[in-house]
Amino acid sequence: MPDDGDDDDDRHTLADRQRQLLESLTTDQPAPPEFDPRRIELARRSLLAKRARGVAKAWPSVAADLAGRFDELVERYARSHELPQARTGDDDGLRFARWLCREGLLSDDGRIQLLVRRAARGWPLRMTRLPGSHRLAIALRLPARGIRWFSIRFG
Amino acid sequence: MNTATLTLGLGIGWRPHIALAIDRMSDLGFVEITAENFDAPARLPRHLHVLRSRGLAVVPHGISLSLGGAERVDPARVRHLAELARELGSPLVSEHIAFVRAVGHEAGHLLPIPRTHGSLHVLVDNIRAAQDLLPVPLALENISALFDWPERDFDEADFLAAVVDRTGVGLLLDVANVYANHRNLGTDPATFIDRIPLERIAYVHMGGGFENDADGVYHDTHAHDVPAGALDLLQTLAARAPLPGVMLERDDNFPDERHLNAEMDRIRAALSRARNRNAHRETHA
Repeated sequence: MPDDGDDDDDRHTLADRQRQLLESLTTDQPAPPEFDPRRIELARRSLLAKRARGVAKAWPSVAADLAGRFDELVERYARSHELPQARTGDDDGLRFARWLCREGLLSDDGRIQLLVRRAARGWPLRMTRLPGSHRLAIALRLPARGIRWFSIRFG
Repeated sequence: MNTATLTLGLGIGWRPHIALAIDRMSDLGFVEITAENFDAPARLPRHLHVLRSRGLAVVPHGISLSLGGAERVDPARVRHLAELARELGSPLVSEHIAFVRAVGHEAGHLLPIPRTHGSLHVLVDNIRAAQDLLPVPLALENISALFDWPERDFDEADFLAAVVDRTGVGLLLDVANVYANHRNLGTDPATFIDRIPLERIAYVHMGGGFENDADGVYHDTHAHDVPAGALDLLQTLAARAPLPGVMLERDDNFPDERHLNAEMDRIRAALSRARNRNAHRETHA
């Protein structure tokens, strides 16, 4: 049977082609040889839109906060951050929010949301600056009481 | 898989947003769950156990095995599907003929694979590895795509037939994907239906989408109503072959209960038209 069984050569050939294709679908790499570049661009836009929907669904208020810049910023973020292994919109959204924060693009409200999300996992005490109101926000995860946060003036 | 003894009936993709509406549907035979949305098979939503107690089948549907990928199948992902099937007493599980990752990078979407002899080798090997770990039969779904691979030894129908023949899997035929590929890639649905092994269909997906005038592409979103063209195809298919199960897929932009029921009614009507047409033919034969 010519089509039965496994063959390492087949896996290597397929791996090369799938890697090339995925790179061009998720980065700015051109379409792999012989693919229709217009079709690959359509698929690239479609994947990006799906990723943006996942982020917006996980973080609706951050998306609303960015208003008309959301799509442009998700695209900038997606170019330099591949999809997390867990592939959930929530994880991707968390990384997007942290990226916005580092880039100075997250409002004080967005920073507080990020702070609360971060306090929900890992270290139970988190803090962040709120440059818009010159305050420092501190979040605590308390046993049986969930996340509590408050802010103090600084500077 | 022997689909002759499979009777699923009318079904719907179970999602938390529409759980109450699903609870109130009186003629459902099955629901399908997205396996990756449930981390712990021992802690499934109460709704699913209630549906089970009413006699509905629950079919776990995977989206992350990447059976068409060059990498070997991750046994942990297959075992998760297997655990769900055991917990829910499922008659089968399903996945896709697609790849979703390459060299550890995630696509976040089901992507088409080249329909070559080499790719078929790898796919068949991956499917067999998955089947070895599953306690119930596996059905595989045809996907929609916005592009085709340049290298091609088979058309889609012949490729599906070869996969079914070599592995014994059932077909989860997504009629809306056939419609989408017709709109976007020019696949002829009549030829496709003529050439796939209809007797191996385990169940059918019907999802919605929309035509985007800006890019001239039909988008298979599962967030819009099922297009009339896909319902016509369902009617054609149902007139040609017995379909053990047919279900609606709605994953986003959830409508209210009345609208959701109207979508189910459109599927019922297409199946009813196929039955009437066949009965009319038999009467006049």
